Amino acid sequence: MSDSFSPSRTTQAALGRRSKNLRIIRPILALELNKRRVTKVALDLFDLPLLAMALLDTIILCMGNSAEKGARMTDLYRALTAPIRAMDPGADQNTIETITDYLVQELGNTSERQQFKDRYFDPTGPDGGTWVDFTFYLIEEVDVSGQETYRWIAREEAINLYFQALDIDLEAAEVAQAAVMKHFVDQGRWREAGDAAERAGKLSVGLKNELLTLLENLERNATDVDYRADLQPKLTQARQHLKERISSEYDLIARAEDATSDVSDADRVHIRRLRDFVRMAMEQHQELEHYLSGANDRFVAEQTAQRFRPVALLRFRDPVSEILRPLLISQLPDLDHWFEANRHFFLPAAPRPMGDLVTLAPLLLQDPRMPTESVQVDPAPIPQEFAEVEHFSEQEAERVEAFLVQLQPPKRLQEILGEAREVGLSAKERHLLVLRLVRYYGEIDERNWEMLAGDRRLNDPEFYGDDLKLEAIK
Amino acid sequence: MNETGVSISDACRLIHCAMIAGHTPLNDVEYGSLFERYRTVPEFRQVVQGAAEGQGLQIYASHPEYGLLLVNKVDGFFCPKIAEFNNRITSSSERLGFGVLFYLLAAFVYRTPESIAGDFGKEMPLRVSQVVFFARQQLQLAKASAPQLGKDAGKVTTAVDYLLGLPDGGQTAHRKSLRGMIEHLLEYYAEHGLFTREVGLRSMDDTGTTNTKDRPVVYRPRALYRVQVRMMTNEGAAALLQFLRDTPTN
Repeated sequence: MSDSFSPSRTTQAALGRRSKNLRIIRPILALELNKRRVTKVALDLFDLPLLAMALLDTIILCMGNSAEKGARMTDLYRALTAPIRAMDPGADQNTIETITDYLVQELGNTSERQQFKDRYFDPTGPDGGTWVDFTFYLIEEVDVSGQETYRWIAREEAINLYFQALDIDLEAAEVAQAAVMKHFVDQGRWREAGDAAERAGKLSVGLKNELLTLLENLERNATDVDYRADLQPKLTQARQHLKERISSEYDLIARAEDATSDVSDADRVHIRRLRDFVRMAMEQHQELEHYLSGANDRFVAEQTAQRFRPVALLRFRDPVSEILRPLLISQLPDLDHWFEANRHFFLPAAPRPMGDLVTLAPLLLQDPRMPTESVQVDPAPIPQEFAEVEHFSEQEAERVEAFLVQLQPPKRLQEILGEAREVGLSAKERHLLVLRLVRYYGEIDERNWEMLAGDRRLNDPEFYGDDLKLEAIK
Repeated sequence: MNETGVSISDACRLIHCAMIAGHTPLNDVEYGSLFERYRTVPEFRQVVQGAAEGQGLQIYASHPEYGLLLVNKVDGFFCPKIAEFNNRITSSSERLGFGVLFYLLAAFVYRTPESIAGDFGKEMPLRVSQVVFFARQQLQLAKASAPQLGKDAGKVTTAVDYLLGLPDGGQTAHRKSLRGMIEHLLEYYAEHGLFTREVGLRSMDDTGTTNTKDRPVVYRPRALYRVQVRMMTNEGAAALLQFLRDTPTN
């Protein structure tokens, strides 16, 4: 069904089916090219393209599982065990995992090697067309549920490749497979019917992906498509096909369940397998039918939206050529401060971290107090302020008084003490002199003396007592 | 309590939910119901926008799957300082180096403007070694195109000189190596919900040997990182390029 119309005619011209298909198989061919990189296992023993198809086969089958919607690595390890052991009976678990990892890395393009990229000419681009990078990978690890449960899924290129390798038209193959299944069920050959059901399940996944991709592409480019002429007949046909398939699958499940009681244990296992695969196919078909039933409305809405949407909503700068290169070669001394001031562009909003009590507690906890014996504590003697004043004798006071009278102001305290030493005042007398000068400066004032702080203010932290100056008031 | 009172407390609660790393409306019932209210009740949406603005936050986008995607405003209440991002930054060159690495990482994850504008949830996983390789490649390209600009290179350190002068880092994750800096950046982003961090497949390194023991750590950008990069390459790049144009070089 996809052959008769395409989402973009202009792109189709440049990226023709044949040339695209040649590109698509490159990852499979690259498996042989890159196998020398794996040194631990001799990959020459193994048919890597065949293993790659087995891997795709498993992934496509797992995509039909409604609970998982994709393959886990363990599914892939398990699925490849049998084909790898068929090629090398001595292969251990480590070898199987290494080969599977290699296949996943190559087909998933996790290393972004050059083989997985190509350029094609897009004639719709500016100035008569541009060359555009076409990057592809066959399988991809995606978050299938939106809750960070990652599974490997096959991309549409891989699904196309897989079914092209089988050379089948999906819808026709589905009908044929259903006929085969019905035939085996009629004959009571449950094992063969189960195998046919498995193939039918894979075909249903393929059909669903093909149709969904096609419709999504069409919706993106809604204005280019003649919906009424091209698409509606095809959608009607697809709905009819799905309706037939779902009703036939209901019938098959009912027949399988009816037959369960009359068959041997071995056949019961095959019937259960048949029933599971048919259910899987039915789920795919129901999901697809649900999507197709809303296709008309969605297409109309998208067409309207695209008509009114501006050509470019938001123009982001090229991260490499427009931002990174100028930034790397700039020689600005203040650029680091710019990053500090504009950190909101780079750092996400984060609540302030709260203090961790686990780390705080050891700091807060003190050693427990140990009980000590009670002892008699003598109170410290109370210092008697200014008591030393009483210790100066009258002679000493007279000598200091006489010295003060003959003193010629203004003088610094240091100079006064120097003179006192010269006239023979003892240390005790000089002590009294300082007390008289400083502590009883009120008395000094009475003698018309004034204390100055030299050229500095008294609250200057650089001020020292030696700089005190005595000045006579006139 | 009146309707307005309930709305304001719920609005703050919604902003709080949006700021918890890894929370989405799909994996948290309360967040889901508040976000549904945000989408459907215009009055509530207005209150949420006001509450966010008051706290220095901007609601850059909202998405049914990823919820409110918040970014900081200038000197916003929740905007960390560079010292909180990395308290071991000791020199201005290192700060400059980290500033450039923000853009290097963005350029590695999103190579083209189209990929920045693309759909959420299409990001590819990455490993530190891949980013280091890309960084070295870009630095060497920039260095090759720089000689005609580098007359006064002795006086001023360019980001290229600083980052190329760093050791590769080898096996140890030293802070002052290029690998260590990139690792720190990715770890910080993973801790704050911009990336998820998981242990990857056994990898083949460039020498062709398969590492069986140490599985590499794989970082996967989340929707919030795409939003942060949109801000970096739109408003951020405009301000940066303006600064580069306006400030005279030495």
